[in-house]
Amino acid sequence: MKPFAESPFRTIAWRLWLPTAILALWEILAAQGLLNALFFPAPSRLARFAWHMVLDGELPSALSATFSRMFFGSAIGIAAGLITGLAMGILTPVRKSLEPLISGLNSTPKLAIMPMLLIFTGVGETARLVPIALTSFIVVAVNAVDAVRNINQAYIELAHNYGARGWLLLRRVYIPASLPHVFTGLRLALGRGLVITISVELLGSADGLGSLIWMAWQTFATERLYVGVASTALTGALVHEALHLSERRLLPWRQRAGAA
Amino acid sequence: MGQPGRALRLSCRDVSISFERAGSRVEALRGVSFESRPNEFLTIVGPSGCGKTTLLRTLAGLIAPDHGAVERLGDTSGDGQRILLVRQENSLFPWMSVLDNATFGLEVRGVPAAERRRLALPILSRFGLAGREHDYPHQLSLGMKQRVAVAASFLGDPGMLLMDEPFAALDCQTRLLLQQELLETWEQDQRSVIFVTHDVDEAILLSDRVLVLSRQPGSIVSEIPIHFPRPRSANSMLMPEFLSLKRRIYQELGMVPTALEVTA
Repeated sequence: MKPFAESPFRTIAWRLWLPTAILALWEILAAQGLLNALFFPAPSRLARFAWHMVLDGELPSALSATFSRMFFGSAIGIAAGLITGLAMGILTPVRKSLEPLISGLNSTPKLAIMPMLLIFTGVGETARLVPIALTSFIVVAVNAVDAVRNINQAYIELAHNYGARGWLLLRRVYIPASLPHVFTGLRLALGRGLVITISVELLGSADGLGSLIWMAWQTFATERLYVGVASTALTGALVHEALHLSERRLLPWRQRAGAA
Repeated sequence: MGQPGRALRLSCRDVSISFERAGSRVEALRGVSFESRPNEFLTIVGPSGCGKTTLLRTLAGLIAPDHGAVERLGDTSGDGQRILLVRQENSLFPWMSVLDNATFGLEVRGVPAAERRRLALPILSRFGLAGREHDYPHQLSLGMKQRVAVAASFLGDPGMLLMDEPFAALDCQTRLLLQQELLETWEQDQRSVIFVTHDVDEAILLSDRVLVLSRQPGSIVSEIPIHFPRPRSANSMLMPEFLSLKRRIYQELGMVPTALEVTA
């Protein structure tokens, strides 16, 4: 059932009214002096502060450090995860051999291996990238296996019926048929990738949003703390939205419920 | 396309198949024997659940019979040996456009994209799909989807086409349209077809020969040649000859029609 389309204005209004109301209430309470300014600086004050951090280049450089760390780490993990997952989904021996390893890794908190990495590789970028890459690798691989195993057998049969084999079968049938499910994996991977990136930066890094937040806590700079956390949230939302847009672009054949 | 020399024929000898279902053995087919002829439109008609689909999947080589054998006769070398199965649903890849779906058989054989397009456009427009070649299946009605599936099967240029009630899910007006489009296409480009349906009108309209399958376990109870002049059209269905064939098949199916149905 498809209800009549809601206007974009109404959609945005529904999404924004509650956060706006909370911010407004906060601003009023702060202006009245009812909130401790040390713990809860007024939103307007935070916005000015954030703007200064943008102007002096501190925020942009933290953002770009976090972004590139997340993307570089995730890209390695996603590529490896896709190949491994597809191979596991299609070839039963590969799946049976790798499954125990994958589920073992899946239940290991990736952050917990960082101290070990610090021993192996020393304090450096490698120790930070490996947990990020591992996180997205596992999520993508697990979802890709599921994706392939959930392909409607009718399509595989149809492809065999046409005599499709090998690379053509993989490229024209297995990969596109598993893409919707794979995208779920990508969204999870980047979501968790951001979490682990920030965690890694909190644990020890000279740059990035995590380090900014940690330094702010060390110096009790509440404003910077707020700006750091809000930037992380914003980054997550932007990544999610970008992925959503690319999904619509890359999978035009998907039937979308509701308004197109 | 459709040269008589390379038409594939299928010989089905004493095929029996049974399944395990809920702990008991269900006999689907018992002693089915027949042989198709080159470029013949052969229809197997029978009540639902008589094992028609099982028979077709056996002919396609997707199921191995418990007893008996299916043999491919005629030119069984190269592309001529390929058998294409058109199903009631899921005959299209949702991620491919109409054009890509219709020409997937050609793509598998390594035909370049420009050539595929050139070959496909006339057939697509014959099936009323001109201008829709870049649409995706979810943008098409059920009737349109089946048109693409049938067009794809002709474009795949197999030695043998197997059709498993391709029009069963359609409303009766759309079904009639598609039957006529298939009829026209086949009459211009004859090739070996084995068609399965429970629709007696459809069987007579399209076929050179009709095999009547009995209720479970399915076995062939009679073979009825349809010497009805071609080209045929929906008008043929109103001829007295057509109605007497229909009566005969109804009798073979053991559902003797009332006087009303025969004369209607």
